Amino acid sequence: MSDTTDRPTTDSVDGLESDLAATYAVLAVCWREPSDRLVAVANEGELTPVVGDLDGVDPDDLRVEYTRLFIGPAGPPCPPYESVYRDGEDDAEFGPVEGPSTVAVRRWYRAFGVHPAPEYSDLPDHIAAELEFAAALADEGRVDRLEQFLDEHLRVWADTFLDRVEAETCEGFYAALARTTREVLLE
Amino acid sequence: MGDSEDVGRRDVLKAGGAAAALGLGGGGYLNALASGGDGASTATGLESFVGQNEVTQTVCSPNCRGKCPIDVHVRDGQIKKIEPHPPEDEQYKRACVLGLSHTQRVYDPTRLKYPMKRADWSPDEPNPTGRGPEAEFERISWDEALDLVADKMQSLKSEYGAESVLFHEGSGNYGQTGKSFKRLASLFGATQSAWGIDTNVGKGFNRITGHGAFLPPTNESEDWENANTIIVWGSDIFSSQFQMDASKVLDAVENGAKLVVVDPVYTTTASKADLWLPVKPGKDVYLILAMMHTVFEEETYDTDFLRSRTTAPALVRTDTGELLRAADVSVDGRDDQVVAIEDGEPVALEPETEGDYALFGEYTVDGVECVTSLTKLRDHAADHAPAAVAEKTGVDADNIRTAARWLATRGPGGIASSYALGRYTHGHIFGQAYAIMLAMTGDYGNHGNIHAHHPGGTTLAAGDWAAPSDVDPGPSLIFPEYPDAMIDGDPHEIRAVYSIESNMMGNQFPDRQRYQNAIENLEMYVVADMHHTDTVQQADIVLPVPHWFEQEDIISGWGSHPHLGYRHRVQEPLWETRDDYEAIRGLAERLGFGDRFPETKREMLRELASRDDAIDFETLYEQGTQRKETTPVVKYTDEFPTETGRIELYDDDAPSEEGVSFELPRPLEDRTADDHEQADEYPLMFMQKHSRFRIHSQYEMVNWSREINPEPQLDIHPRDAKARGIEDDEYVRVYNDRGEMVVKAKYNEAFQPGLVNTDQGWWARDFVEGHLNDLTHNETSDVGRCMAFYDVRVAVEPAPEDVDTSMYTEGNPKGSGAATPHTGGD
Ligand code: SF4
Repeated sequence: MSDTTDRPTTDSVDGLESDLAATYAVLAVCWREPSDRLVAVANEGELTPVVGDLDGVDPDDLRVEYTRLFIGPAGPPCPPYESVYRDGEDDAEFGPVEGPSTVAVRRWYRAFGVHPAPEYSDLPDHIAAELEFAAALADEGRVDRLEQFLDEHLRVWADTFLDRVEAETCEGFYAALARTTREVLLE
Repeated sequence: MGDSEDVGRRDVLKAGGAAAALGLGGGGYLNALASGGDGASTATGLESFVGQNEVTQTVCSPNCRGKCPIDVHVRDGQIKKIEPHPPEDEQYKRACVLGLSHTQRVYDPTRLKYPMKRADWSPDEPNPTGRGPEAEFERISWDEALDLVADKMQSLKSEYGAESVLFHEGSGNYGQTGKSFKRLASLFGATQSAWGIDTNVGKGFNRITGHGAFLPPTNESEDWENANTIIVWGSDIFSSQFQMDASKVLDAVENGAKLVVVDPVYTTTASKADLWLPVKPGKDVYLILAMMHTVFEEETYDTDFLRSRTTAPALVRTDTGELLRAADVSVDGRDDQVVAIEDGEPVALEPETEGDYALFGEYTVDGVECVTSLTKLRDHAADHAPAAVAEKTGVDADNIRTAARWLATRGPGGIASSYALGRYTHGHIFGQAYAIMLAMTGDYGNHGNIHAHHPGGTTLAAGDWAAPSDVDPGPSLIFPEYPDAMIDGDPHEIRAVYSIESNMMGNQFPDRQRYQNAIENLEMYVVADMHHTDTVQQADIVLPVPHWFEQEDIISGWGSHPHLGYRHRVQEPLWETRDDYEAIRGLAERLGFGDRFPETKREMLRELASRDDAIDFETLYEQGTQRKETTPVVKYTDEFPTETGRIELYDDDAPSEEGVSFELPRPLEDRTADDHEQADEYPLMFMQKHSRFRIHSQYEMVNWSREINPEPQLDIHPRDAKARGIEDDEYVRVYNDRGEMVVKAKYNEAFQPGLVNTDQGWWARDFVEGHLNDLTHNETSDVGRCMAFYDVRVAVEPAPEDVDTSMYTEGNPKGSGAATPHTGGD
């Protein structure tokens, strides 16, 4: 986004240590399965910085689209996992889940005292989990380590993943979310 | 991006408001992650592996002839390598490259992950026409899924009766869950599936010997090295899914055995044979009758065996064609005893008795004129001399004689018959015929005898677990009966299906269009699987199953080797996948039968193992495999379980089809008949061979094999192709009165002119158009009641100009260029 030039502040942003932390935390929520609250917040216009001005978000449409893009049962066309884009053989369209990059992500989490939550049934290198971790690093003020994590992980694979989302999706929400996420991470 | 100075110039949104609205303050942004501790005890359990190497023994178990114990190496929580694990009896060490490729299945990103419901399905408005590849789905919780299924089962039960719910179990796995699936079906009163595939040959064999269901029992493969002649009939044992016992055939060959292969195709196995008999499709009964003719002519039959263990000497009344009964005439004996002539006098024939019974001739007993059964058979075979059938069968008369001579005169041997023969409509006749042929040569009950192309292996004997003795189970339906039941309510209505371990709508059932029409009558279709198969595409409720490495089970060695294997869990189930047993138990609880199912799968396995005296749970668990010592190596050593206790050469209670009665094996053909009414319009016979690259439709997604075997093809003899103006590698349209498919033609001289083939196991997404099962039919014979996949006629022409083959001709180097080429599979 052209006008997102604020520096991180040391002031608390609604309990988060910085705008940077808030940014990653919000993106993380947007890449999770859409909750009622997310839809409500979107419809209140609070997500405009992330998804632009959408003409109302229908919760069922959003959920069906999320399911189609990222869960299945068919496909899904855009598996939201790092290893899928990094650990495959050269000519394979998709790499495996639970690849070496998943192991590396787990190591990051361990080193910073976090781990997949007991009730969390998805994989640790899900885009939402990695963004959440980025938020945690930012929130603790570990901006140098955040940069390293982004360089070693999110920035390496997100582009390919986001391209797929943009090509596949028919919901403005995800197209905009993909664009914004790319800008935040890569531009 | 680099050091912290630059951070945030462009990478920060005005996200504070959104964060506040979403309630993300104060650690509230953590959802997937939790802080505290090193994660060693998290629910995924994977963290604890970091830095460690572990080897876990488990078992691979699709419907192949492997049931291979394997070792899975895990490092840093990741499955790295799979190796064969020697079973308790190491001579059965085994595993194939498919088993070693499980890393590609377990980590396939397109595995099924969460329970799902079709978005436009509800119990009251099922919208069956919304099914199919375009259907939209919603993720639901396990509790929601099981509530929906149980409630719908109950409401169907009160409206249409419990039998309106069909529990369909396929052959995609060989653990113990199926027994609990059947248990629940029995308790509820649901209709249960009965097998309608590959039962043909065994039926015919069973009628004569009292043994056999699919294929008859055969000596365990460790004994095959003792065979002096092996006739592999209709099986590519060295190449297709049955390869695990092939080395034992080679052991026999090394010991000097003669290997004969009877097959319309010049298979890998045929290329290793001493003699190949290139029979024309469907002419096998003529061929084996000609072999009998040779044995009669050369008098090489086994006189002792025929007298002591068969009804060859039993008298048949000339007036009625029935067997003479001891009670009918002044012979000391019962009504169920047949009569032979010994020293000129009629005697009742006891099982397993050696007497100098007359094998041939006409006799009059109490004024009733009779001939011996063997005389009847000889006269019947007389119509099928090798020279007389050579042209019809496509096999040289001398070669027929040679094969018969080897089998009859070289000591113990046998016929390794296959399911392929039963894939012709009247395949049961071949089962009857070769049971008799092997009786003539005395090849039962000895070391070195072979009766089927795979050994019996072993299973867990779990008593009445599947059908508790205190309940009255519902009816059963054989597979080919499903469409009529769904469409016309014949013999009763089916309104819902719960399917496990089966890709019935993709690979396993013929006449795909008809089955797709049939399921439009279902109000609920519940499908459990690991992968998004063609069947899952049709589901209303999807139940995701963990990969085998994430399950615990006791694996039977059915159709393979005489061990049970313990499937140890290598890792926790990924996502929210759950063992079928847990789903079954969850339904049982909701349906009021919770107390009939142990709480955990481990407890269930322990209970089942305790019912089998030959197995000890702890030993099996610790060792990983246990050879079941009660499984005999040599079969047919006891009295035959027939009325006479003998092999019944002449069946006076025989069924008939289309006016042909089967007292003796009389040839009868369906679509293979040269004068079949469709012979001109659809001149080519269509086979769907098993492939070495898939086990049925499992492993379809494995990239390693797709590199060598990228797409379905039509094997066609160059002469047939050229006559139709078809170039090698050109796309062709294959069609008949049921449907069509478009695949690439492959010149292949291994297939005789008049016969074309597409290997089975491909999914709909792999075809440019259609599917091979759009060509196959669901008609069965009255006796066999078995799907006849190979008794199919087609025509072939170049594909229309405008057919879109870009999925293979552009872009994706693997050729599997469908939008989601990875979609999983079972
Ligand atoms: S696919 Fe069959 S033969 Fe191959 S490893 Fe698995 S069980 Fe063994």
